[in-house]
Amino acid sequence: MLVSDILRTKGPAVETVRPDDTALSFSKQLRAQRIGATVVSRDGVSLDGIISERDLAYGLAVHGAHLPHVLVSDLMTTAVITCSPHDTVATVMAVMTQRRIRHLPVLENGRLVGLISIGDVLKHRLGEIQMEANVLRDYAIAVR
Amino acid sequence: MRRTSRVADVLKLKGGRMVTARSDDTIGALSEQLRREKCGAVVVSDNGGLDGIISERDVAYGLATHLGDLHTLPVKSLMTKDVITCSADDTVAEVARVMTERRIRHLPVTDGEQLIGIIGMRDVLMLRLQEMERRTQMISKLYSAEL
Repeated sequence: MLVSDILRTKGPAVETVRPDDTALSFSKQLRAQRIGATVVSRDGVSLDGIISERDLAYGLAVHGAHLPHVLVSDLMTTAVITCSPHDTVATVMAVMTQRRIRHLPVLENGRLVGLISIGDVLKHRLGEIQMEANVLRDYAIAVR
Repeated sequence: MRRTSRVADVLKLKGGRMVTARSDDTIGALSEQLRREKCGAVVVSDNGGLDGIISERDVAYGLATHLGDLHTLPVKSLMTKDVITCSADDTVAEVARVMTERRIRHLPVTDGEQLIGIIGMRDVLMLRLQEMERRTQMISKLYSAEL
């Protein structure tokens, strides 16, 4: 199974936030969309960074009362680990667990085409194994 | 066949350390604690029991409504009081289902009224995955032996 299979089930839309948006507007966006992270992009196709609910929660410790006005560009992670639509789900799962990251932007030819989460990856991997187990079990029963 | 994975196995992975906050701590202090402990949620416990749970999501979403006052609020104003819990004897399969269906990342583990730990979705799903991989391998080995 490939990253592109996950993207197909999630739909093509990639939510982004701009580097000059404020932490406040980012918080409203997270809340409205019930999500945990967003890609930061000035034009919707280039990748400037990634910002998560963790960056807001940890950022409060640093910025206190000023946090609402702090810019996304000051809170985001710029050294972003990415993946490609052609990567296998097993590969990205290994990257996510080893690096302890929850979200990977998906890039194709330098353009942003999606964002996948550890939840998406584990759900697909579990589904894959469950299916494999079911097939084997049914087969074993059938030949007895 | 290896026995079924249980919540007790997840707790063992974590080494049994549990971070707690008090309900009258400020959100500012909590955010420092989350950052220092590098964790995403803490159990709120004033006297060893389970009073609530609060996560980085509660803080991040809270900014939208509380703006510059957020860091001064008490933890109890943003925590979830109606907490879904599990016990050490529950199977990893069962808690994995609860977590994915309810979309919750952390489950406190209780023994009666007593709080004994907290488990995260990542550890639960990893153990569940390992268990299913073992099972698939076992079935396929059994089957190829029969051939």
